[in-house]
Amino acid sequence: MKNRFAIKISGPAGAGMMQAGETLSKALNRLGFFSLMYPEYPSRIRGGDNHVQVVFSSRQFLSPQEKVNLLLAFGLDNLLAHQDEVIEGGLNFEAGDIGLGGIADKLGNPLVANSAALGFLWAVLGFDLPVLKEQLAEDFAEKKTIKDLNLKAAVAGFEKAKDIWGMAKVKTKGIKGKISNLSGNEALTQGILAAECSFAAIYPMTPINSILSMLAKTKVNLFRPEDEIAGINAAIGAAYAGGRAMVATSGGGFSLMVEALGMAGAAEVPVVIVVGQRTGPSTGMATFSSQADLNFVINAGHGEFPRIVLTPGDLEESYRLGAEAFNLAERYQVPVILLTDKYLAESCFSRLKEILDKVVVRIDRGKLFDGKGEYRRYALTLDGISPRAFPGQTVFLTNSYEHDEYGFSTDEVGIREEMMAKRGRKLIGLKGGVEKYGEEGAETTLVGWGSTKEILLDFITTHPDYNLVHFWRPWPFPKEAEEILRQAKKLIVVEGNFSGQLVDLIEKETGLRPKRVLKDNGRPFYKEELARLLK
Amino acid sequence: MIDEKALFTSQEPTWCPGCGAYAFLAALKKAIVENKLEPKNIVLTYDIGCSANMVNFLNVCGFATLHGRSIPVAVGAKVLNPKLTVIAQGGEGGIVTEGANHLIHAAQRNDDITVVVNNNYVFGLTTGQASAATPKGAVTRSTPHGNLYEALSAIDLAAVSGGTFIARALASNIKAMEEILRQAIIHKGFSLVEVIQPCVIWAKDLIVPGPVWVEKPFIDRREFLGQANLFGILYNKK
Repeated sequence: MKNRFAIKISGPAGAGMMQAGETLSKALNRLGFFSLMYPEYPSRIRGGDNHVQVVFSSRQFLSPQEKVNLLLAFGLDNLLAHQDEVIEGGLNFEAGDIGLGGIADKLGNPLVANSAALGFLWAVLGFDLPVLKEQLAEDFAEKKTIKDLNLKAAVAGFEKAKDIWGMAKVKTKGIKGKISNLSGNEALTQGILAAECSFAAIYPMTPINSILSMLAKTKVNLFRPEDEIAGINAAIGAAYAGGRAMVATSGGGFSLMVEALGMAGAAEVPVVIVVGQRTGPSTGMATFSSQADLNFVINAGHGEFPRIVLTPGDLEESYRLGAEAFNLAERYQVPVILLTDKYLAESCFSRLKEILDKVVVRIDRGKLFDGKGEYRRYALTLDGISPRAFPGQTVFLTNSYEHDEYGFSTDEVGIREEMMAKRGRKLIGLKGGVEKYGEEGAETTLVGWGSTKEILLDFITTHPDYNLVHFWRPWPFPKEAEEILRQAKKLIVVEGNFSGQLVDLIEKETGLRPKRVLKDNGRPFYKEELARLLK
Repeated sequence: MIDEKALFTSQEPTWCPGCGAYAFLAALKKAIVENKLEPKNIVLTYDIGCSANMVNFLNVCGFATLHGRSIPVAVGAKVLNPKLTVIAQGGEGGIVTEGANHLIHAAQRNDDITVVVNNNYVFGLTTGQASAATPKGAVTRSTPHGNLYEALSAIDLAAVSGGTFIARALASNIKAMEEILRQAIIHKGFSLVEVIQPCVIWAKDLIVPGPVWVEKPFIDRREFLGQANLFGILYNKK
């Protein structure tokens, strides 16, 4: 493929494939390349076959590929598993063959073999050693005891490939400008921190675990709950007490949270719920990606109550919506679901730093009680939103049972109807939620949501007959969407689930009948695959 | 000192005549007054069921939550704002049956909240079915041939899990209940108060074990495990 180069590194779990992929990507960013690092790993901690794909290019929108230019495997099994994925005329190496194990043995630590591999790769790619060393030094800055060892391993690996320096014949060129490299979870967490989140309750679950470890190093009150039910109930308690509160989980954990989601809806407590989708149903394929929980998060809960579903698709949106979720939750006093997936959450993407720096976050806590006059927690208002007070400020009732304006429980006909209507009108004024990309009037309009964004942007960049409509807030269904979609000559919805959940929603909301291109096997859409499916 | 009248709401209690909940409400109000707590600084999270209907009858920052979930909501509020006095209420259905997991873990963490279990021996508001704390052999609407299981005790669960203030009160002894609640609320760390108040409709044939009042708390929590007849402050570790 023109203008890009793809590498796969594979090896047993525990041998540091992820770390190698991350260091490689960031070193490439230093040379002015954009990069995508897509990891795949089975649900085990040692052994097996973990692998990362690193695609780099002078172009910023990248997709994972079926075929790579270069494979570096850490064992014969790993080589056999992936050698068919190397393009004709591509390169493959096995660590034992090229003496990487020997380097690690000599240095007395088998764990530095991945750094030796990086040095080797770096030479094969035809780059200069100091850049890689700088990146390694940064990545191991907090692990001083093994920093030098890893640097030595990289140098030794580089020396091994001296005779074949530049053998990969990389054609793509780096650009000028500082490039940032983040995983989707990192960008989301930075957004969460920019929003001044003050309470997070997280029970570990793939693919949101890195959010938990990142927040554990901050001042956010971190509650490690006994289960997801306790997690969301505690977040609701914290939000009620005046905090900006969140939980993060995946589909299974969110299943447990659903009753409390309804409580947040009825009691009007703002709470942010990160749902990182992974393959279902049930345990599914625990470490693989999916976009099959859109229907679930839109419809979860008994009875009817307003909620907002945000579906960030790239680093900018993960950061912006990670922060905006808290504003929306507090402005409308509703639960806000941030729906991501394993592909977006755990892959590392890159952007010009100046683009990410431009995303501005401001804090909006919504309507608050001014302390004057009689307070009614659920005062009936024109926009349906009643000022919030917090315990310590005044006495008031909060109620998951149907209630009157003061919060007293009620079964009365009139007040029930008024309260349903009040909650029902809260989100009427909501704007945005959908964005157009590419040329106006293209022959075909692709439609997507969430993590397909960058893959589809990559596609339309190289296929000018196509443009893109991306949903970053599929629920409430954006008012502007119907008009935008009606302008398209031909509509194809591309999504990572079995039945076509966004298509169904579009059909229901607009009466349009778009074509569906679906994939549900745990993997993202690959570049070559998409080209075949859309031909 | 606050006026006890400030703790009344505009709502009349809806409990059955003779229900122990009236006595509990009276004792709790006195404990709040005695502790000189301001109603706006008290968060009381309620479960679902008869005793949880108290949310409408006590003028503090009440939060009617879900069945079994009053404890985690309380924990979240306390973590966010440690200045609040936080109490989680539930029947034995909510605290020992649906939400026992939360009881165990809040006790393990020694979360600084007070948990009150209004134990009426049955699911009352659903018309009298057996809960996990219904005495063995009891005939209820869901156990017409007698309950098969030994009652699960909130006190035992809290004690073995790490709770640091553990007491059993009797609804018919308001004076003792008031003092127990007063001390439980000011205790730093996890407090559990089980209030025995057999349902006057669905558990009226169940006898409260002849109460033995303990003079002073036990030093070793193993000494009161499994003894449902012991009343008073059983454990108080500073």
